[in-house]
Order: sequence, then structure tokens, then C-alpha cells
Amino acid sequence: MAESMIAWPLDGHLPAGRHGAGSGEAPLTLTELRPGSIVEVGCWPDTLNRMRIVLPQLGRNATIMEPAPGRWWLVSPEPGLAQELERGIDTGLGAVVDLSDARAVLQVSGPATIELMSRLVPLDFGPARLSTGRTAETIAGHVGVTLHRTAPDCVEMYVFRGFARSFVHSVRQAAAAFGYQVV
Amino acid sequence: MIIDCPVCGPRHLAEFSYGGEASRTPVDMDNTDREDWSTYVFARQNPRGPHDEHWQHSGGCRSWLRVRRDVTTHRIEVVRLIGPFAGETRS
Repeated sequence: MAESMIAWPLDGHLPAGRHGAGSGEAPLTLTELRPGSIVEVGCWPDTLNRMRIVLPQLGRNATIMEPAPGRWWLVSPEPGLAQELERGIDTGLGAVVDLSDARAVLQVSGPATIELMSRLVPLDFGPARLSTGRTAETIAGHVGVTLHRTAPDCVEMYVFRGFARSFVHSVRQAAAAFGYQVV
Repeated sequence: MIIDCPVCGPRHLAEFSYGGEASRTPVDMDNTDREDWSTYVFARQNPRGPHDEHWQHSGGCRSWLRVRRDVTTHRIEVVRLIGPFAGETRS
């Protein structure tokens, strides 16, 4: 798809600048991430071990998340990852679903990130639970979200595209108490 | 109430959907006996104490779980992942 045809889910709903409480440097930064590819891959019970070996090779430089046994998410800055994976994964090994146009991705970073997250999702962000590098599927305001904690103070949230605007609205409401900037 | 999902770890009740009593066995689809179907559809053990039941982690990993929960105290004794990936964990 040509870049000019892409309408990003949060276009116009996350105005750049500083918002909310306080002044000066904000403790939170919100950014809409725009990965070229988001792909879900599933396997069969008897191909679980094989897929665990094959997928990192096929996914190459994609970020690989495993929300549940037999289910993976691959996120890559490059478009076309789903087609590439389909060539390497036949129906005997598993299934590939392109989610690139199905999710909005919001990144929250800054020292107040975990405090903000605790107002949005019923999750334990302690080191034994959602530590850095881990992913979790949970709910925020009854909407399913997939979280990826990429650093101690940075969380990426994947939300259904159709819920993106109301989700971002609730995130901004919660973030306003701390003060936030949109980059 | 918190259910310790074998895939996700301990999560709040809000993420789960109740799937009914786990101990009943489905009736064969070729069986047309009214009594058998009536028992399957309506009869429940309804114990006062430990109860085997199904839950789905619908607001999480979407796995189906078999949970042994004491209905008088909500104390959960066992949680098992069921379905095709039973016994597996995330790598």
C-alpha cells in the first residue's frame, strides 16, 4: 500500500504539544506508533516446538511476542511481513493473520508511566509480573488491549482500531492528572 | 476474586467469563433420549463447598481453564489450562 493511502487510526485525535496538569517537562509522553506490520501467527498442538524454532528465523528483525502458548504476535517497522510469513508457514505448520490495519498502537513513556497504567488496567507491573520485555493481554475500560513493556518506564498498547479513539480519550483523561506531552 | 491463570498469572475476576460446571459430560449428539439431555442441560451438583468449573480468560489470553473453587469462600485450589495446549506455558 502506498504511504499516501494510509489513514492512521489516531490521526487528528492526539494533537501534538503539552497537555494536562503542571507546566514544564511533562512526566508522560504519548506517541502513536505506526509499525509497518502487525501479524498474528498460530500453530497446532503438534507443531508448537517446531514453530518456536522456525518463527524467529522467519520473523528476522521483527519483535516477537507470545501472549499464549501457540499464539504469537510479530511487529515490524517494515510492511509486507504477513506475506513473507505466509510463504514460510504452510497450513500443516500453522496459520498467519495480518493485523496491520486492525490495531492502533499507543506508546506511553516517562517516569509516571506505571502510575498511569495502574489507573487503566488491572495488572501487576512488579518485577515478578509484567517486567521489561514481557507482554500481557488485558482489558482497559472493557476493551481488550495487548501490552508490551519495552523499558521500565515505557509501555506500548495495542488496541482494536475501532476502539482506538475512545481508548485514547480515556488514556488522555487519566494522563491529564499528571500532565503529558504528545510527540 | 483473583484467578491465577496458568498462562498470564494472577488476574482480576473482571477479565474472566464463567463457563459453567465442569463435571458434567456432553451427551452424544446421536442420543435422542429426553432424560439424558434434560440432565445434561439442567442438572447441576450445586455443592456447598469446592466446585469444579470452567472459566475463560476472555479479557486476557482467551484460554479455557478448569478451576476448583470453594463457592462459600471463593478460595481457589487448582487452576488448569485445558484445550489443545493444556500443560504448555509461554516460552
